[in-house]
Amino acid sequence: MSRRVEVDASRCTGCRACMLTCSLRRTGEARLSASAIRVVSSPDEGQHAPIVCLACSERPCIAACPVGAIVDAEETPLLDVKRCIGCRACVDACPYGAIGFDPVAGKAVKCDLCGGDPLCVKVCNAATTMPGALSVVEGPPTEASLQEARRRRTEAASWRGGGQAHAG
Amino acid sequence: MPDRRSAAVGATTGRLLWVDLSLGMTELRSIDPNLVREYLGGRGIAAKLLWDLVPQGLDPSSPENPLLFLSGMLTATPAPASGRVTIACKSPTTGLYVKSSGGGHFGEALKLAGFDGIVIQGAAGDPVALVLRDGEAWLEPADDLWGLPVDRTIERLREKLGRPDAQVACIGPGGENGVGYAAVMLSHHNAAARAGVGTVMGQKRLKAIAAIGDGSIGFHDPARFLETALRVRRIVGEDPVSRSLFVFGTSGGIGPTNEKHRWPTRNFQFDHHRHAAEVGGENLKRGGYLTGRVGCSSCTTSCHRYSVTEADGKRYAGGGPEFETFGSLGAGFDLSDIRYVIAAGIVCNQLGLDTISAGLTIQWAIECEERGVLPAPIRGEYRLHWDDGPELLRLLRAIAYREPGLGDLLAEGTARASEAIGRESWKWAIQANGLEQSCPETRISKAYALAFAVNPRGPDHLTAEPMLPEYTTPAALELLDELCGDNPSVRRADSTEMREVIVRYHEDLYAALDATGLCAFTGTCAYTLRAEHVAELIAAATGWEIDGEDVLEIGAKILQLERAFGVRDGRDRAMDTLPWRVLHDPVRSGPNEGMMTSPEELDAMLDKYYVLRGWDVCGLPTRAALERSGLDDVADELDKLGHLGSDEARAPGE
Repeated sequence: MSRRVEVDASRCTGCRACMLTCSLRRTGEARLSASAIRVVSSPDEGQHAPIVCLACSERPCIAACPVGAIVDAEETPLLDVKRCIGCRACVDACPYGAIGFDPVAGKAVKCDLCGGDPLCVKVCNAATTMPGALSVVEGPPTEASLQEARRRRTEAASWRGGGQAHAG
Repeated sequence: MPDRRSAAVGATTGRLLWVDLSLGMTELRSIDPNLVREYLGGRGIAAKLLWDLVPQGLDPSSPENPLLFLSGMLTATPAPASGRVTIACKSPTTGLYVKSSGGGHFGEALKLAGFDGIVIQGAAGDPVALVLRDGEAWLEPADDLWGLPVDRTIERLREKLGRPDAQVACIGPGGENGVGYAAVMLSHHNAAARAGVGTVMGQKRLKAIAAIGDGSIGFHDPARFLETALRVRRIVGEDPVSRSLFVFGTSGGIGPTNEKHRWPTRNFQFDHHRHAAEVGGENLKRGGYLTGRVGCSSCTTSCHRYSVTEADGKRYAGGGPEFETFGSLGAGFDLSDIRYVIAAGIVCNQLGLDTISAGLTIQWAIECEERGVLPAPIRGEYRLHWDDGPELLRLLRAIAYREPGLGDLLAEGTARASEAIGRESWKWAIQANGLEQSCPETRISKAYALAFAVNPRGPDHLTAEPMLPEYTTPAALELLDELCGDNPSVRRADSTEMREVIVRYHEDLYAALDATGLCAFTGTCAYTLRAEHVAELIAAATGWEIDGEDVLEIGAKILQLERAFGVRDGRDRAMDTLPWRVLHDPVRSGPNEGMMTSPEELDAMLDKYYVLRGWDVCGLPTRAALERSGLDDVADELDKLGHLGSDEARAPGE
């Protein structure tokens, strides 16, 4: 069954602790473009759009990869970075803008749920009795979730002048 | 991209950018790792650089006055609330040392652009903007930005650079026009506002700095740092004060403060605001003005609000208002309509004004008018009375653009304005050493009174927030016990007992937090965060052996150096003071009627504090105290200038 990071954008404060944490875990460095979750903020930083893989049922990223670097797995598709050739076909294929691109490594960046216990969720509003913007949920995303993710992508692109919805 | 981490201490870039605006040149210099070991970063390195670069007696308005931007040592990492950046210079407002700290994401971008900090010297002829990216820096003409409010400045600079994600620090019209309390804005709503740092940026004709954070930060032991950061985030986040700051924001504290009759209104004439239920944090939410919460870089708390309203026929949307803004532009103005404090806060942010000084200067003017001492030609057509929201917005604009007459006068702040008006108007100027005091009622809270009097930059809450005696969270009670023993009388706000111990703890930890880039709300509000947690974060990032005591000692060293900076220019006991009204004009009504902090009370607290710090009775650091902090060269220089504390003159007790 799918397992994924669910987003409630209304609770996001744009602190980007999730991005700094994700990149540190993945690369040993703090670098925004190495994060598999991206938070795009409105120009006045009053609204925020966290963007991350939804582990959708269609999974067009898998078919889009010309070298088979994205393999299906029960919870979420997994990207084999060693095989990735950096062509960005998966980045373009994802309807939710949820696959990033790391210009330093020259490779795609995709959420792997940290192997099961995503750190972004843990750092989101560390005040543990406060619900954060991120949570882990089981099962495929609902139609409402997918619609909301498309809305976030469009909104983020408009904040970024229509360009790539990438915070890095 | 150059490899910038080979010689750098973990979590830092190891590099400073030096900019000479007179010559139009930029230069990269590496930071001596020993300097990082001694001062960490942020406020620590700023204090050291300022001491080295500023000669005794320098005119703060001269181009030689350096303007420093230093990110915290742990900024741009997952350490909790670690995005603070320190801006420092010699203050044109006070003639003293000033550090002003700000949040947002500018510090993060500065570091990820490849620099721990920037040293700006000289002054440009025509307006310029500084751009930082990938370890490189360049100056661009900014004539097209000059005159723009903060939002338009940020927007246009991002457009010009083709980078909507650039983080921008800039001044508004306030800084351009030489308002004495102009802010450096680090986003639409994150301000480093106190004591004229934006005024100095304006004198340099530096409109903006854009940082593009494409780079990275490395760590000595990434896995250990990640584990430590997650653990310490949890410790901070679980504190009830952190949670309350998340839910209600800083302005959530207004109700309880007003209940205790410690919420100054009408220029500190009264201590209870009759409209507090309307003009306070709870009503932001209840009234539907609050539309979101805003987090600074890597924050665990997200205390900032985002508010939307309509006032005077115009829509206002933006960050805030914060507790102090509610005080200076709300309760202080006896405001009954919350919409105008939201609007006034946003106007200050867009024009680049310090809300505290702007509010208290307007309050001073209204009291002048009430007492009939303001000459009619200066007042002009302005209406000067309490609770007139639309007029408040007009006055703020008049100040930022220094309109001839009242705007020009109030742009100077209360100290200079009262000198110009005379007729004893200095008695109700709520300032000391030229800086308007922030809201805490220093006639009642003696810990705040002492902290404000000895604050290196003047009377406010941003070198120590000594709320400890009154907090009842488990962490606060435990810490108070540790510091003061089991002594119930220290828990009274109006007790002068052991205030020196309480203030010193807050000052030392606060300075260390400012140096690492951690927000003061992590360790001096949420008392769960202790110096040893900061040490663990630093150790994991750098591989150093460092413990909590070392961290507090670094904090103390920063304080000593900042003190020495003031002392070199003549600061002494006479300047460790509070606004006249706090010392001589008791509370007029309510349960605290008759209360004030008398000069004798303040003196008694100063004596004990000086002993603890190793200063003589005149407030000058002794050689022994400076050498204990490894500041031997500072002692030599003060000695040479005749400003070293005398061992013979030490207060009794040590």
